[in-house]
Amino acid sequence: MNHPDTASAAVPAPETGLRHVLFPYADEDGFLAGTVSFVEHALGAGETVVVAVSGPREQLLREALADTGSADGVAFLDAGGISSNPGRLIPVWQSWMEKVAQSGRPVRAISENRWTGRTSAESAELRYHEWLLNRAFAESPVWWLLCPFDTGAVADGTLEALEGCHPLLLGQDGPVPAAGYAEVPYAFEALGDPCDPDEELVFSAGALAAVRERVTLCAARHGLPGDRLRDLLVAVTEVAANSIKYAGGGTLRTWAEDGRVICEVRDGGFIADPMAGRIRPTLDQNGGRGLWLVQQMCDLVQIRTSAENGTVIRLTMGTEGA
Amino acid sequence: MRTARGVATLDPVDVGDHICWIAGPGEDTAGPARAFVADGELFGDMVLVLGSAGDAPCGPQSWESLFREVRRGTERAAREGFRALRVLADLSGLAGTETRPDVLARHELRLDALVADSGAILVCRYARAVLTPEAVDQVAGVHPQHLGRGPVGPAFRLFLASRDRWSVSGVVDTEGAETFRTALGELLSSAPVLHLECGDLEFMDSAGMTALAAVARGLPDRRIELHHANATLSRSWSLLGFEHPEIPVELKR
Repeated sequence: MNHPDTASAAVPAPETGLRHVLFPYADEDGFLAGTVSFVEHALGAGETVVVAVSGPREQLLREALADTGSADGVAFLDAGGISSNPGRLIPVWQSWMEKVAQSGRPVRAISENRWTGRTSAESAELRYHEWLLNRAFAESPVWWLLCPFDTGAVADGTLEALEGCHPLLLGQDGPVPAAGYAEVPYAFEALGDPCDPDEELVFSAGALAAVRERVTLCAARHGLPGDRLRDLLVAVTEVAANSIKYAGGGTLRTWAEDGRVICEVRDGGFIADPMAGRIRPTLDQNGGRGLWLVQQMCDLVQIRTSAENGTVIRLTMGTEGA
Repeated sequence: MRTARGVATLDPVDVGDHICWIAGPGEDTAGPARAFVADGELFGDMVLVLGSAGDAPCGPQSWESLFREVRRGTERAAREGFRALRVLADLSGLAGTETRPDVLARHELRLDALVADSGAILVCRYARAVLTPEAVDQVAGVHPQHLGRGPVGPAFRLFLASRDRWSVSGVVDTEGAETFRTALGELLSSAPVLHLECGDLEFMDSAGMTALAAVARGLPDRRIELHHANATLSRSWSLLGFEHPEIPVELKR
């Protein structure tokens, strides 16, 4: 298999930003063919290589690289320690990139997301995360991110959806522009219907305590334990406070499904920055910490916002912990 | 250890209590005041009424005169064998003269420390009409107890819990963050190390933590120690990046 930057003159070579490559494979041999060649080429060019893949895949790759004498030059990151909430992944990558960039060498990374065992809502947010990566690193020094994807392990249609999130697709002859990739706008999946939600609570200034009370009642009915409830209350408070501040108030709905408590806040405001909540706040910034904390506290955060229809934010917290 | 609570009447007040009574328009103030005075006799307290026991506000002339009266009264009560000094002070006049929340917070926090140290009982009565909404929140938040019917009290309370440890209880969210910042700033400006007990703090949101960080960062020669912060607060503090050398705050389990 040709290496990404040795083939296909059709691939644009930007001065900055992420070269984000989707790498579909059908079996272990295919996985190794693409990843080992990627690593060896990078090491040959004196570049830094970081790998974040699941345990079995990591072992497979480690053994293959050991066979070729390349294992020592590769940093394996603990993929198991990475949050399952896709909304927390960009700052994780930014943190890694800051560390590895200190070497001054170009960076190539391999990251395989876990797609199985996720709810459809979680998978949808993970796809959005993949799409947002392109924007998050648009101004960064050039680096490559190869995203292996096991085509046999996921539902039909997933590969096509992922092509819409990756500008490049790795084939036998190297990377080519992904036909389905759209720079803007992102085509969000519609939010699912709530499962027997509690009565709506319309709130405005001075009602944060009432919002928390409603969430506490729902959480108690569905067995959300103390620490998780407190995390959820902080998150809901942040979202409701934003609704009050930017839209004069909002509407709260709560329900539970499949061992998860879900809180939804709707308002008439619009969140213009798609990176809101996904960038680690600085010490000196004014405000803008609420959505960051929300992403860190919850198992899943779904945001749908437009100037025409306002904003819907759903917060999910599992009763068993993420 | 003093504890925060709301009381529906002045009947259950006890030694060391510092009660906030914000009287609404038309509220009967004479009846509860008479009962409070009568209870003084019942419990063997020395009673001091600063202002009318009825409706007309004519309380202390200044905050300093109030401190003086409480100190002297406490000493005299001890000398003469009373259980405690029991004070009803109408502070509407003082608040009407100076309504800035930070000024009210500064004086009330000093009063709270005085009451805690001396074992007095102090009821601070304000006519709601003389206070701005911000001042109402500020005043209520710096008393360990408040008088009022129904479950609604101040979102948080900041008061002297024991000898050198202040307590913050309840919820510090975006609606109370400015009030919290003001009160905390007043406390930290008068102590090199502020020990803040957080065991009864339900939670603090990002606005509350930002206020805490800003106060600490603004007084870099001081230090705040948070005791018994819950797991959510500890994690949030770290996640927000406030574990930083420029922010002299230490979280202790």
